[in-house]
Amino acid sequence: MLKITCPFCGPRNESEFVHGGPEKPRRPEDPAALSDTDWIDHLTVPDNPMGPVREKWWHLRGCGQWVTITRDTVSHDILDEDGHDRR
Amino acid sequence: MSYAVTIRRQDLSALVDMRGEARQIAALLAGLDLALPDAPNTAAEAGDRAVYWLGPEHWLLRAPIAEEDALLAGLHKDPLPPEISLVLVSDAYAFFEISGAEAAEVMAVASPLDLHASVFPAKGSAFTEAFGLKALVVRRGDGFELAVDRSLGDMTEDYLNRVVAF
Repeated sequence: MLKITCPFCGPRNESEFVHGGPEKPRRPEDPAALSDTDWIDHLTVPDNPMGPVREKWWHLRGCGQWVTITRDTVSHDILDEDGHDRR
Repeated sequence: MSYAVTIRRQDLSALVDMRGEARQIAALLAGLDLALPDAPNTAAEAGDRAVYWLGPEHWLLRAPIAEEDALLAGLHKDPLPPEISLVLVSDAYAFFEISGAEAAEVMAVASPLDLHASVFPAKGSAFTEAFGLKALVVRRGDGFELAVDRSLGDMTEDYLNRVVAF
């Protein structure tokens, strides 16, 4: 069980959150300039690293905000919690 | 063994869900002689009315159901600023009162929220989970209040009674 620190509510159980997946790279400025392979990679191929991943969690059963954290996928350690992501 | 608590399902409360800039919400509440809470996940109370701060730019105003019309009249402003939202949700929640010496023990079964007084002090109020459901928990007197979606009220009442009967 993770204990995720919500910037509004403080430390809360993982069960209050919904995993929103890893933070995705920004959409290319000009997709038409990409090769088909690069465009398909951007759209459909997720990174799945062993180690730190920037990911989003939705505090659904709490204040309702999105939180971005860096979690190590091997150890489950939360390396930083930099707060709400309102983008 | 059973817990020394009293479980009571409350009648409906008048509830207004308020979202928007704190400055604008505070201006509306001033018409009811109410103020916003000072800290996140706490309540500001005035008589039998309370304002719970439940999220960034999110508050819940609560009063006895008999005061619902007076609340709405007090909040009325024409036009309402477009940046804020006021929604009457009186019939959306079922409130339970869990009081008694072992109220915290029952709450510990229901919810993973840390309810120690150092973390969840008097006037504490927060959305969390209870029995796996999204729930509002409020500290009051010698116990707590627990609110869930009203459609899940019967089920929650059954769960609470089972905890106490254990």
